[in-house]
Amino acid sequence: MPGTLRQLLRSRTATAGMLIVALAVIVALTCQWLAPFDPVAQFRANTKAPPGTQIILRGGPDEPSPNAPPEAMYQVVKRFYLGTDANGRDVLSRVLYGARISLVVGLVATILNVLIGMLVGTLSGYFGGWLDVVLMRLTDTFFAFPGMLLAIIILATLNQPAVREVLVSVSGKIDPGIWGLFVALGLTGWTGIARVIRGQVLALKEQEYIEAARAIGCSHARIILVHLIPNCLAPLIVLGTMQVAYNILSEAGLSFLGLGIQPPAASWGGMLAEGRPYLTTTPWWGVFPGLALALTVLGFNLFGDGLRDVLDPRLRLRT
Amino acid sequence: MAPQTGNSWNWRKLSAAASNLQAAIEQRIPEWLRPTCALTRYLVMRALAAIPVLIGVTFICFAILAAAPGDPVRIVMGQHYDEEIAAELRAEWGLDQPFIVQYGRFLGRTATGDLGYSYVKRTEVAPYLATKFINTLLLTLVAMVIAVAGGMAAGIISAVRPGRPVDYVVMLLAVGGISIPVFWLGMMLQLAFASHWQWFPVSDMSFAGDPQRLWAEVEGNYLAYWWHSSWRHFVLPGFTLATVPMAIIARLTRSSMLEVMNLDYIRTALAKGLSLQRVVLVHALRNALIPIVTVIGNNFALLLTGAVLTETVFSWPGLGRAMVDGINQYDYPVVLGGVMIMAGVFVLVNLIVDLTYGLIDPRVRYA
Repeated sequence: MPGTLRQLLRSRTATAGMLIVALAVIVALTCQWLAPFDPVAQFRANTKAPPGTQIILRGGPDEPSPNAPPEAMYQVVKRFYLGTDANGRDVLSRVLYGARISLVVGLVATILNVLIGMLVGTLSGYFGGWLDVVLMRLTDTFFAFPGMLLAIIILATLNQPAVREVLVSVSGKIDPGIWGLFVALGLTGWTGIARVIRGQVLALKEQEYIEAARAIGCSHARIILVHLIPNCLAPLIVLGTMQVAYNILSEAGLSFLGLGIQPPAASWGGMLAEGRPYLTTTPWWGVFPGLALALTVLGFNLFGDGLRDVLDPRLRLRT
Repeated sequence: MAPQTGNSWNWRKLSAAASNLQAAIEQRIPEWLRPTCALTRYLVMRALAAIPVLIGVTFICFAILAAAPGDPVRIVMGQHYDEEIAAELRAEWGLDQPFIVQYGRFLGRTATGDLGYSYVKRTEVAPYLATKFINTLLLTLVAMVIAVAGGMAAGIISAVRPGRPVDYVVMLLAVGGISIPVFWLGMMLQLAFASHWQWFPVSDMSFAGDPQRLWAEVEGNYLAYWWHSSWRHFVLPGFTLATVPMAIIARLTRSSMLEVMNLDYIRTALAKGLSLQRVVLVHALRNALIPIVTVIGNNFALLLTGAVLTETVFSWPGLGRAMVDGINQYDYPVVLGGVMIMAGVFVLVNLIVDLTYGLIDPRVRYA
């Protein structure tokens, strides 16, 4: 794999994708320092402020607040670089914090997708027979089921008050909707991965080195874990990267429908849903989160394309 | 071969007997009728194979809804909750039965084409969902025409000039197309073309103004009426819905064409002096078409079933929207009926795709 990076850097689009992904990851990791304001703090005097509006915060150096008395010692001048929403929350801070939610959901859901897809694909391809038939029927069933819809049904179930109470108690400061998103997206996106892995395993298991492994008495588990899965890594990495893009988009879509992360927590989809009625009067509220979302997804897709061309060009016809 | 045990009715013997019988029947079919028979058998087999998928899909959905803690009766009755009436309703809707009985009844009803009675809409589910489905189908058809025309044209242009600026720009646009969130794109189109320039209506499916005045203006011409009242409503949502499949089709057309363009027969065709246009559009495209048709079919099915976001942004009265409403209102018959329709559409579209392979490539045989 050491040559992979050099090959990736040779392509301009792949490099751009890598940079965007790196930027998104950095923002997600450091948003509590990057963001000028608390993403859920409401500046009631500055609702729907256009981008660049100044705000003077008075008070102690630790906690400048808009509500402190005017004779307070310290004054801080700050700007809402991307404006504020109807509740007076800073759009820039919310966009930055939104990166964290998007990436966490995208990555965790993709890891679940890859695990399920790998399990189903290797078992089905390696053992064949009735297990293959059953697992592939299951895959067909999930494939025939529009992913978005299954996710909506799962989320609607998990969003019920009784379930939500339990989730709130385990999630602390995080919005409890995130667990539903993990489950819903994790359970829906694995079919493509399972099919590709099955095909790969079917081709690999006829090769001589697998036969040799079997001849010296390797267990099935060892053959699968040590000999088959490492040889499936290339398509897994490529499909996984693209799946992250897909899961980020789905997360935004579900939050847009009001089923994922709920306001006031900052998520791009939720912000778009909140900003939609005010699109003509305060366009910045609906434009910037969408731009951030589109850019992040574009980054993952470009990166995935680059990885595919380097690692496994045969996937071209399947993705 | 494994040693045969005493059980005389094992699977191997049974399937051998079946294939003997099949061969015996086939010998009696006249030569000219055989392809038709093979096709019929293929269709029947595919229809049978679809049944477990449909059952599986509804079972998953039924199980999730049954596990949901909410009580539809309580939701539907709202503040006027009354224990006696609720018990009656539960009995009427079959909610007092155990899960497996409910599911069995649902399957029995569905097999006869009856999708039940909506809890909330107070109407038969089948006709209600049928109108919603037609709305979605119309929008999907418009979107697919845009997507196929635009996507294939872009892909072919790109494949004919690989590595040139045209190729680069088209492929960058295509990656953009699969990356842009459709609901955001829809909002931006609304902002630009509906509220800023006011070329197209912001939302809804049909004429929002005074229909009687329009009817008088077009002097009772139904087609003109439909044209004036409706076509503008299709432009923005149609284009929004088309972006993702258009980008996918463009990418796939390009890679599929590139693969074919390197083959010997293309070089031969060019060498004997055929024009590039003819070689590309007739010789190469036909052989590049199979993966493209597969993806067109998949996307058609996806659009029919996954247009929820576009429908939400443009307030389109479609199937996806109806199902999300059904889920939010605990209207289980609507949800299950919608799932049934979607899964059925998916299976049907896949079958049509497999059948078109035979039209494109005569070597494909249905067995």
